[in-house]
Amino acid sequence: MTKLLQQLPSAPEKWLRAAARQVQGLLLVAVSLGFVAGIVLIVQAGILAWVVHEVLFEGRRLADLLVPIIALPGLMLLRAGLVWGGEQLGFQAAAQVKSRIRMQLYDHLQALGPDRLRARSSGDLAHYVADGAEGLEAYYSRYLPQAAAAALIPLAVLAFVFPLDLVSGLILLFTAPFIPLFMILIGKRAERINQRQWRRLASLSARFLDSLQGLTTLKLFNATRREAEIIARITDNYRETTVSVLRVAFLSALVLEFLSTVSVAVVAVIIGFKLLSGTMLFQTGFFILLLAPEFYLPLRSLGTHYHSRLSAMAAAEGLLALLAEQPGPEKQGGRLRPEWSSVRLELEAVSFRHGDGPMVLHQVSRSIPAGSFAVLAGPSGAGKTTLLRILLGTVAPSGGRVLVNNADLAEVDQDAWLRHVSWMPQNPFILPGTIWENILLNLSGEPSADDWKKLDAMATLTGLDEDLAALPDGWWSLVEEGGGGLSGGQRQRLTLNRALCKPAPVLLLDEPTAHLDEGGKATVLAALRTMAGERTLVVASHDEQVRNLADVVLELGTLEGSS
Amino acid sequence: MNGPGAGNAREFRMLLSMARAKWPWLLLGMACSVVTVLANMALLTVAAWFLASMALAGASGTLFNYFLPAATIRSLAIVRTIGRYAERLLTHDATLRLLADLRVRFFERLAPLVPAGLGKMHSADLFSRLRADIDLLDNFYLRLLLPAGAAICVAACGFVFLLAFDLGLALGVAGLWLSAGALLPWICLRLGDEPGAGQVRAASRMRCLVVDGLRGMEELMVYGGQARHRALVQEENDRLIGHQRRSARLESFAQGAVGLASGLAMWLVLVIGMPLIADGAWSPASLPMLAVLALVSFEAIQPLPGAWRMWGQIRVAAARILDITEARPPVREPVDPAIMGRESDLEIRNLAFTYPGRTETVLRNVHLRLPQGRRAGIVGAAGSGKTTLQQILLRFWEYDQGEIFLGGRELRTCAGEDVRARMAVVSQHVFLFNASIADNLRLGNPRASDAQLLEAARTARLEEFIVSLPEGLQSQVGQFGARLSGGQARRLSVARALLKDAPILILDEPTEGLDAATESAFWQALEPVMRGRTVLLITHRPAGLEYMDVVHRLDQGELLPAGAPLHHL
Repeated sequence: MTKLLQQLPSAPEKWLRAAARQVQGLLLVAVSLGFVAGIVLIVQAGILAWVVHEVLFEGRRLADLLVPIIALPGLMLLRAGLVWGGEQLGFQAAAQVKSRIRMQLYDHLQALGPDRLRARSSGDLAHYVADGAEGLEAYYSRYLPQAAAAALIPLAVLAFVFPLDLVSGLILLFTAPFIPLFMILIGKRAERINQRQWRRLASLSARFLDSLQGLTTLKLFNATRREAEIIARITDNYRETTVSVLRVAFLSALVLEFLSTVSVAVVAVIIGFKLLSGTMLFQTGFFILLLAPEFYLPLRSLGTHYHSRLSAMAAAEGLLALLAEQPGPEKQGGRLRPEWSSVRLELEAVSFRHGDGPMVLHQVSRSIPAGSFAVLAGPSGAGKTTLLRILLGTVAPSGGRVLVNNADLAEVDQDAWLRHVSWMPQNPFILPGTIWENILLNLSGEPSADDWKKLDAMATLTGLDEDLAALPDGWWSLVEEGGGGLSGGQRQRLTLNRALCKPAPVLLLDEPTAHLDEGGKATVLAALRTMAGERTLVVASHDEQVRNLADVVLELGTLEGSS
Repeated sequence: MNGPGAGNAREFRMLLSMARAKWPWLLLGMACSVVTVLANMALLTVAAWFLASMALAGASGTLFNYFLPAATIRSLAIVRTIGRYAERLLTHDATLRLLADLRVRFFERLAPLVPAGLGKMHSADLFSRLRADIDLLDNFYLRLLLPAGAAICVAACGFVFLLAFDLGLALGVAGLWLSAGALLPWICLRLGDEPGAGQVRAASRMRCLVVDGLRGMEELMVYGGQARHRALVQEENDRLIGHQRRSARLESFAQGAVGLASGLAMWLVLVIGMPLIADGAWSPASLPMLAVLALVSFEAIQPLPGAWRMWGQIRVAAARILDITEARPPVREPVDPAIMGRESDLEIRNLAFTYPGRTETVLRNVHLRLPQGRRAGIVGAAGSGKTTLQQILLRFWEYDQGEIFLGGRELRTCAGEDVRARMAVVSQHVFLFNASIADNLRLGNPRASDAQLLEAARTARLEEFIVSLPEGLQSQVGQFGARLSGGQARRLSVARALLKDAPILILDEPTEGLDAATESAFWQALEPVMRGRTVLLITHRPAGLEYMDVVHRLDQGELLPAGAPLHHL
């Protein structure tokens, strides 16, 4: 009967099965333990039927039946141990698969790179990594072992029942296939609803995280009540689809329940008449009655866990779609792994546009000598940030190329190139943690004496030392997600320090003097001036004072036409 | 059942009172569950008795009325099937409704806490509370509470039935029921508390790490932090799985133990019943009947131990929700808020402010009079308290000393929403939602037409850009407005504030990130908008100050008299 289930495995199911192959050993042992537990149960029922028969029809007493009476608790204990072991191994298998898939997803997202994910919601993606992988657990720990049990245990039961009573055996045999059949018929429909449900949950997650992050803004516009209404509407919508999924799932359970209970009832009545006519021993009849529910139990449990399969498949579909996404050209990178101590940059007719959007950069050509101070100027929206990202190598140009010490950047391995570059974006990422952790993002463990020396030197240079003095715990002060608890200027200096502390020959800075007052700006400009000469600086800025420091000025054209 | 310990009383009460609206449905569902289990017990019990009676009648050649038991068996099969379906639908529907209500209430209670009342909470942690923690609570009703109630009812019926046969047997079987249905769940509850709590916390921490790893991907790549961050995610994943393993171990132990208990109950029937049958105290058919009853009576008890191991998870999830729903908002709303007029003169008298838990005073002795329609600039170095002042005016923080009057009414006597309705803000850090340009603009005025949106965009110098996009107003801005440049995002936030049409305009570094040409064009465009409005410009730069009537200087938290010379900035 599991043959029926194995027909037409869809892509997600194939993927789930392939992952199961890696934990085949564990699953096999889990199933074997479950099967042996099923056999023990059959033996236990046989002993019970025999003991009752002996008492009722042979007039035996307790003292005559001591052996089976003592054997029964022993079997029960054995069975408890087998169940315990089987469940354990099932979990173990599921945990391994889950853990591996989760990290595979995480690595895949990292491999896709920031440009591919820029427009995606991190709530949605975090949902895939954290909860999507979790959704697969029941498939391995429950559904697969149960599917095997559903194939094996009923067969074992039939093997006992058929020699004893043909009619009961036939009833069991012919009702059994209806169960998976109905399950599949109903399951097809449930599958579609379930997939829709999963996609809803992912977009719900995206919406929730976005609303929570923008709560202050919502409050500013007195829009929290409106947002609460929207949340109420989408949760209600979600609830309705959940109920419709459940209704189908419960319907399949109803059919299973009905078939199995009615079959047991029919078997009981038929056996009853055989007993009345004396064509069957009570021992046999009672044994069959005890076995009949056990025959259906694995099938019914399979029905219950069929839902886990559906959820896992819905999750797997989403995960597969994510895993199928290919990284952009900027991530594919080249094979060159150079080590440069100074870097000359050359732009050759670099163009850029988002999809079919307007041209942001149009044939920009310029040479930036090693150790020079280059400023990207131009009105807001002229593509300054995009050009910085092209130099950083996280965005691939739509046309033209970037030469680094005469090597085409597209030919250089991304990681190898990134080791040469420091980057300070306009909206820096600040992770919850200490100030020093935020500056030395690559450090696990505490900074060494050399690290501290470097940290202190750079802090003095940029004026961060004064911020540190004002903070309660200096370097060890904790900052919140996104830099809450720091002023705009403090945040700016923190990220500038991050860029300067990395000994990279290229510094790419996006509006380094924004959010700073005149005093702070003067300090930062002086710091940048000391950097020029030893490092190649490319700074996007519309600040006149920054521009005055420049050796090279790239005036980016206005395409969006700020008047 | 096992009442949770005193330390959990708060969460337990919350979970019970939350269900107030749906008790009838939940109880009805529980009743259906009792009927279902009893029907199954009766079905197999009657069947066993029926078989034995038929066999005995066959052996002795006596007559036996088989119509009634045969019909009973068939009707019990139908009752069970329908009962199960009704029970599941009723309880699931009621529970899902409860959770949907809770989610909305959570969000509504959260709003007053922002931004001052949340401390250092990660947005992904909040998100875990709003989504996963609330989702987890359905287990309390569906797997803990209702099944426990149903099990008690079923056990009571079974006990009364057994009592008719033998007191010792009834007590013995009840003892096994208690062991499997109360003692075992209690053990699971105690041992499962820590791994359960750990699971909720680890899952939340992992979501935070994944969100950070995605959002900070570019920086982590550049600074070589990806490997370390991945290790953190892996570590949290391992911790989560470790907790789950402990919890699963408990569950499989409970599964095995309940099976053992049901077997022992059956065994007890044999051991006690066999002598009674020999004595003739029991009719022979009672033995198979009671043996089967003892076995199947565990159907209601079987899921309990495994379910009660989840209490740790549920307790922590409930506590994490309570942390938000019961937190005291940092700004107390007046019970009977003053009715505010259109007047928009602003007066600050002797204002002083210190962040809670900090010692250094951020603002002291601040006086400001800003008559309706006048414009004031406040300049000051970074960290001089400019943004704090703005947030106090918006009622995000409670102030310690002094008074602020808006249209003659003290802010503390007004509803926060009324105050904010009178102020449009362009603040230093722009947040854009991952939605279309139009959606982001309509935050200012949900009823604005597309034409109005474009008009506001024109004033903010953004219209040409919007029109140049293939999808115009419907273009998606990406996460945090990633598809817009810094300057475009800033101008979008200006247009959004203009759409709000409030009598007071607060500009907090409105042109930060704009180039000089756009900046001066922006001020020219804003000039007609400022006319007739009360304007407060907070800045560290001279730009725009020429449009102000008066300029104050904020220095070390003190607002110095108007007209301080600009070149001292």
